[in-house]
Amino acid sequence: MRVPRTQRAGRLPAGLIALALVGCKPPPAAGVPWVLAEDRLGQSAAVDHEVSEETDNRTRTLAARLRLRARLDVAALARRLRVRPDALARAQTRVTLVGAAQWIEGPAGDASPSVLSVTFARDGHEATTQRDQILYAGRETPLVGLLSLPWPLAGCSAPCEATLTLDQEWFHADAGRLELRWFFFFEVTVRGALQQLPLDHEVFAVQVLAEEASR
Amino acid sequence: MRARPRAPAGRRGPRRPLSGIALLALAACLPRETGWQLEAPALHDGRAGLRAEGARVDYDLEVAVTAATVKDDDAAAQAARITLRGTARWTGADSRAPTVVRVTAIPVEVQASGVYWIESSAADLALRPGREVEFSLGLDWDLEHGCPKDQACRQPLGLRLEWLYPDAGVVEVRWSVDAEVFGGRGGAAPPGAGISAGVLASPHKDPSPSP
Repeated sequence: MRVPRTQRAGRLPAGLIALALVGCKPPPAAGVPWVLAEDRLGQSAAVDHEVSEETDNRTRTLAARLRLRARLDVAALARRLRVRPDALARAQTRVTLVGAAQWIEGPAGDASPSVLSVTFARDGHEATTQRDQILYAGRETPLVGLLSLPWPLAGCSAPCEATLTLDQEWFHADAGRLELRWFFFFEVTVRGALQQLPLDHEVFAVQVLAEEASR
Repeated sequence: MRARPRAPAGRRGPRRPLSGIALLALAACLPRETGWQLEAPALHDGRAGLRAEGARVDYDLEVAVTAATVKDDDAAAQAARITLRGTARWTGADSRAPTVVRVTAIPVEVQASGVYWIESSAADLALRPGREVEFSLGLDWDLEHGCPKDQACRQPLGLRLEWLYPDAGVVEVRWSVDAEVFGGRGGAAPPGAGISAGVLASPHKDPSPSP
């Protein structure tokens, strides 16, 4: 059963949100961009993370903003794909995001779903892509489709740089914590075939912990 | 008229692939023993408005399969698939937060009816003000155990619309019911076979907001 926000104050923190970054590898020092190498398309991104809990909003449990700086070495990518760099500049190129969300220690059963809202933006590109995903406690939910933006390489002096922003908002969650994992892909269509190249393998897992859980 | 000389056997080789294709095409055109199928689009449609003070509404629908549903009849209907399609839109609110509406199609157990629903079907929809969201629910209906002789198979079906986190404004839900009936042997549905749907009773609203 849902309870009013005021009654939930004891279960959910009023201010402090502990943020833990866990993953296959630790994030690099801030300011290190993705670098496209011959053998590997990306290294961990420079990650700026802001997490806040809006106590004045009765439905939003928390908001988190993730900003990533990506850099592509067009010449190296062209060599990898065995195309000329100018052909790459004319190709359809996109940056795509897929992920998974898991609501841990939430209310049992499917009676009270929560909503994860994700907005993906790239600096210099007006359009954003947004989706709302229903989440159920204890069930991992894939986050696929729709979160994709064009990243044209034409006119881009090597290396190409882009700043990506991922706004994540979590609504209608009474208790528990949310784990998110995101995977970024660079997509290019060459010779009529779509090539999907991981910009990083497993970028990170974000664990947003309630105050009680973090103690 | 002169008969065209038959080509030597060794020179007929290239024609064989064509003969194979012709045989395949012929096989595809032959009637198969996979049974018959009857589509019944737009059997029923409806709409409802959900508000904070009436956040849940239940409809009792009835679906009926007519004719050729007698057990042991080779041409009898064996199964039906009911599809509930619709849209939901939240208006009259300017919330930055999404809300959630649950649409559930609930099979109603009928003792000794001889028909069985496989399971209920539900969808939770995340709604933003002014943005329309589509849904589609499928229900399978097993008719293999037969229906009363010379009578239709009738089955009540509950439709529940529930605004889980009621807020300002109205959530308008529109829906329509489609159906397909699948039958036994024979290429065509027997005369009189069909399916119908309709509202069985007026909707009953839950006056209190859902918890």
